[in-house]
Amino acid sequence: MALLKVENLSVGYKSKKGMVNAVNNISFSIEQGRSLGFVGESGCGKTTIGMTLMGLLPENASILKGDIIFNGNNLASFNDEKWRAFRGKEISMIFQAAMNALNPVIRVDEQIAEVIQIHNPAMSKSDVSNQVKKIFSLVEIPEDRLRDFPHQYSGGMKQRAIIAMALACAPKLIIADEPTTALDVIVQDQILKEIKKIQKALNTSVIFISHDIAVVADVCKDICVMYGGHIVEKGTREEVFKSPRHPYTKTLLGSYLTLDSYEDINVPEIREAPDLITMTGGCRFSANCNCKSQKCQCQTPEWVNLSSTHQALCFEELLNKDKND
Amino acid sequence: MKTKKIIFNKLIEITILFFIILTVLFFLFRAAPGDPVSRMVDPTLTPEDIQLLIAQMGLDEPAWKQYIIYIKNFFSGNLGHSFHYGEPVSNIILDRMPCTILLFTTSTLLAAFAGVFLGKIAAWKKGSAIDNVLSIGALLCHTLFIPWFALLVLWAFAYKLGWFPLGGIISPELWINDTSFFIKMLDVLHHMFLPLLTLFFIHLGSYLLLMRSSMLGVLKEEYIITARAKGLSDKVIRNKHAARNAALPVITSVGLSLAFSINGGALTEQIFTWPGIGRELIFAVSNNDYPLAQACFLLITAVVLIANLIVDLLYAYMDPRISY
Repeated sequence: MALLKVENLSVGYKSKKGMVNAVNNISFSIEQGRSLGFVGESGCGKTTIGMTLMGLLPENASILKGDIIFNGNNLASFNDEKWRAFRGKEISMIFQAAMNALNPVIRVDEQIAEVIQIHNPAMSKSDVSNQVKKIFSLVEIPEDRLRDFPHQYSGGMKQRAIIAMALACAPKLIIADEPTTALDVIVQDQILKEIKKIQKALNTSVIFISHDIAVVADVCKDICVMYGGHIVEKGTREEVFKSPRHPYTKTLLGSYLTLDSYEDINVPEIREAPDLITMTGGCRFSANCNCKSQKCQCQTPEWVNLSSTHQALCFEELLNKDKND
Repeated sequence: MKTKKIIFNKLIEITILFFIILTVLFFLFRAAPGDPVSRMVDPTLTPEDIQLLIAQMGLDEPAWKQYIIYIKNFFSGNLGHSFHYGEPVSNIILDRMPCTILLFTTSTLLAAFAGVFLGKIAAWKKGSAIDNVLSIGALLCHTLFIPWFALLVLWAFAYKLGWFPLGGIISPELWINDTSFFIKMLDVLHHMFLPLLTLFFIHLGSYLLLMRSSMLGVLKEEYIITARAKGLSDKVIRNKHAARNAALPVITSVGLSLAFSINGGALTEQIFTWPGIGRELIFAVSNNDYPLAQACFLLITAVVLIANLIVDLLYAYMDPRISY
């Protein structure tokens, strides 16, 4: 049985102009020990998914429909009290260190001990501090830096400390939201290796959210490509990156520059972002798509199975037409 | 060790500043219009008597000589004699200062604690009925016209209802008779209540609003989401993760207002006839009582400088990112 199974999830933000459908009717699942990546541009709803899974949606947002089944519990029906006991213990989140995710006036070890203490109230002080030391050695922060304040850490160390925080209670699922954005590539590489190593060692599942295709391709075996609140294509990393089928996935991959394709850079043009308030039916990518089909604008596309693991949200004949070109 | 060195350096800085201000004050007073002798309106005084008086006050010397004498005296602990009272200025200051410190420290600290506490709650429940009541109340407190409010309080609670004395710090009969310390203390508290209440409300508003806005800023920070993601309770997030960061601007404000309380509170002292420095200052300035006025201003200078030092040190303690 899958560790996490999300079915037909829709999340909306109330705004003055109306409900913004940030996440629309998405389904995915993840097995224990696997890693799933979400890629897409800013505003496609990837962070909203992460926040929904943590129960950390802002006040004006709510789950409109759908189920989130984690280990037999439906998270969509959790109340505040249940969430509090759940967060940080069963599912935890790796935040972006560059964004001040560590409290500047509390020592780093205290910020990590806090998580352990709250979820294991019976644990003695010395046990907690031993546990903190263990986690620090796991993320390779020297022990004499334990009592430091966050501002004494470098960017990479801060990110390690945040990873340590997410690991503190050995959660079954970790959500990493842009964990390496704003780090230089060398540190980024170290952090990604760290995440992969830990995932293997603890057999944790990881949901990786990023706009950086290279990062997601590095860490994740399964990929979901998102556009305008929809998952538009999902499959294994090889399927999605080697043989992308959905027009948006192609656009996204085409916008990624590589050295050998330097000569014929053909960055596709994205003309407008979909209006998530008024758009109800139709394909959300239709305004930017090259297919120019009338059908796309009025009829909602359906999942086309391309292999047992590879699917795209489009019209079958359009996908095939595209192939023949 | 490091802290000691910081304090030592700061103290040197403060001393230099103090003497600069002392010099400026000295010449400012001499440059001000009016002279102390003209205040003593007595038709029997002959020009010779006036000359004698001026010589007695040391005002016949040129200003720079007076300054040297003043500095010499200052180092021997002699601040001069008050022209009006004829007493050593240090005696007058020492007599009035405890009253002022008692009243203003108590009211400022009480108001700061209450402001931080209420501001924290208002920010946490932003937009709720509690927040509206607190914010509007704080705004009212903040904009109160001090003399009007003080007189209103005095009129209502002391004159109409008669619950509290009209002024002073202690009932004279208790002072003369042999009463226990406890009873005297209660009597002082009884006298202090109304001025304390006035100052409390005047300060409360600004602290509350400051804490509220600071807290609202902190609650938007990323680390508050991190704290929630850990599964911490609302109370821990509010008090440990948010309030400590948010209270920093309030500390600065407390330091500053402690410093300005001595002169700023002069109106309150005047209305409640509280025998403090503020009243003495108004009196000394309007009577050209140079030594007394100068000493009052020097005292304010010292309090401002020391309060700033304490704020700096407290800041470094509260916020580890700050080091000197």
